Amino acid sequence: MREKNKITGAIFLLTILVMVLLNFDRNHTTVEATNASESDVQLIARAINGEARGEPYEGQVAIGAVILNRVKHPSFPNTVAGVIYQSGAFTAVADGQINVPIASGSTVVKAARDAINGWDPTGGAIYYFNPNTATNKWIWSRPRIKTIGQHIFCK
Amino acid sequence: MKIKEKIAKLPEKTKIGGIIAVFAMIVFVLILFMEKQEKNYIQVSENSYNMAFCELVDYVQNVEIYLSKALVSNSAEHGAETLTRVWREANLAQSYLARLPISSNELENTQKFLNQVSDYTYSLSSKNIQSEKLTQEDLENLAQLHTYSQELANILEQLSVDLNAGRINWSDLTEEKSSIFTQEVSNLSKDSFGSVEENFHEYAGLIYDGAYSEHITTQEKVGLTGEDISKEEAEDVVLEYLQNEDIREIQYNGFAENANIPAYEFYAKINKNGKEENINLSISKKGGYIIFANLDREIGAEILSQEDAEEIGRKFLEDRGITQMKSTYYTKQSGIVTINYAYYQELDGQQVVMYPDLIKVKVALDNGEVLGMESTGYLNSHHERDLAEIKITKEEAKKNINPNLEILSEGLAVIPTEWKTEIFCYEFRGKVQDREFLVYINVETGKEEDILIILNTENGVLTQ
Repeated sequence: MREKNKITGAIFLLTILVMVLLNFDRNHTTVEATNASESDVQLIARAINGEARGEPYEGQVAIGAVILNRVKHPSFPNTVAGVIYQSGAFTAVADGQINVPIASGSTVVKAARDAINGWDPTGGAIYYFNPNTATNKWIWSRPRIKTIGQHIFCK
Repeated sequence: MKIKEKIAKLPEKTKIGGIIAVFAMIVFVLILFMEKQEKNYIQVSENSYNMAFCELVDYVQNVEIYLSKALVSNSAEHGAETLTRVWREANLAQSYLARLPISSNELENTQKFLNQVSDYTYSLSSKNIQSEKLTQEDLENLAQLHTYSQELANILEQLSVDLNAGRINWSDLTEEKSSIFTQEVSNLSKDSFGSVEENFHEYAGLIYDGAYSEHITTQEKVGLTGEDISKEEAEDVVLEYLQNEDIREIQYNGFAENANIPAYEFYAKINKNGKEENINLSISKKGGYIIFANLDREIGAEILSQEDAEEIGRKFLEDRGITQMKSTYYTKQSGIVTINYAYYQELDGQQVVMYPDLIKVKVALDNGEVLGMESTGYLNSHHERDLAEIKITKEEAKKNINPNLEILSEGLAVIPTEWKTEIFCYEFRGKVQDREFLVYINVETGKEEDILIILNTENGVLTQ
């Protein structure tokens, strides 16, 4: 009996080991490539999903709009991917939230499409922050435009 | 003796000790393994940061070199070639700069500097390509940009000495400490860089033909006419927009003074077939225009065609007094179609499509309901145009088109350029090997101004 226990114990430990290793790897796999013509919509949708999936619809469109406002702005990279993956730009990129799969029935793809079609609820914002969690003092000094959901949007 | 028997013979304590030892060993191996993995990942990211930095140094040095060459060049052809190089090198430099693990606001000015060098030299090179010589002002701007680029190259050179001596550790930088690099570079932007920000303010008035030219965002909004309205009047606009809806609640969300178009913000809750839906509206202070309205809901089975939706959208605009709108393109997503409508003006019985005067309307394909509209383009640029005199006949214009293009339709249009100016053109829609194109020929000069590809995708008819 004891032998069996030992074997089960070993198997149990091995399973944990394997699971840890697998998980370890999963966190670092790159995101799958998307259809080229749709890739910007998908990337923006994933960024919205990572940054604001709990926000009201307008707040989701707003995140997409900020990304696109940055692409057009001289102080930021000139492509969607450049803006989204710029170092320190989005917490969802830093903590991997951007790689969380989009839930079915989620509105983030629609929100991304609206932003690309020109809806900009932020009125031209290039920054936003959550006043409850923002640690960067500098961000408070930016001229405010408006608050949508949990986020304050600024120039 | 078999191992099993051996183990069985061991005293109980030793057995437990053995199990603990095995467990400890597994944990130990696991920790070692994870440490090695982490080390690998740190090394990979260090390497990619180092690579980005070295690329940045090289490209900035090249920017400096080619800018100084451009200053000396005296022929338009060679000038164009040199400026094109500056454009390329500066563009790559800004792209590598963005990859460094330094938060964007620390390097905003440097990023902007590189972007504008790239953009400005691009516009000058297209000037040179048309055999125009650079003006004294252009040369002065270039000389100023060159001085900045020298400073930047020097400081980067200094930092690369630190890097090669192992004094820069990127993984330290990603933590939220102030670092040598950010200190250096923010000093650079404050002192030795000659305060890039301040100097770029001087460019605010400089209108060069480029997408990142400062005047783009501050351009006058010619479509935004009329008197300023109060919050109460803005609410009336909201009520009028929602006149056929079962309104539950209207909530005022404040006045956005700093928005591109200062506006009153509203949320409305409306009852739709027993379901509460949210709609949000932004009403301009000046003139009381609807900048945008947007409602999101789930769409049922699609029963309407694209043509039905276009007609609904056009009628919707007409009911709001926005007439002479022509649908141009559309996109589709989750049962919602977003149609672009452009204003047209009559000229000798012909419609001239004003592409910058754009309003977008969202129509639900399940019941034909209008879900939203967006009119920034229209508010930015709508006005009655004094069209330039047509100097090139349509036949002459056609001669400037690639003979392989099988022309399907032709018309007149005013198209926006990347830097928000407008050009009056002939618009030819044509086909080459099953691919549709739009070709724009300037009505005054006969110059081919733009070519667009028409993409028929499942998500709509788009141009690129």
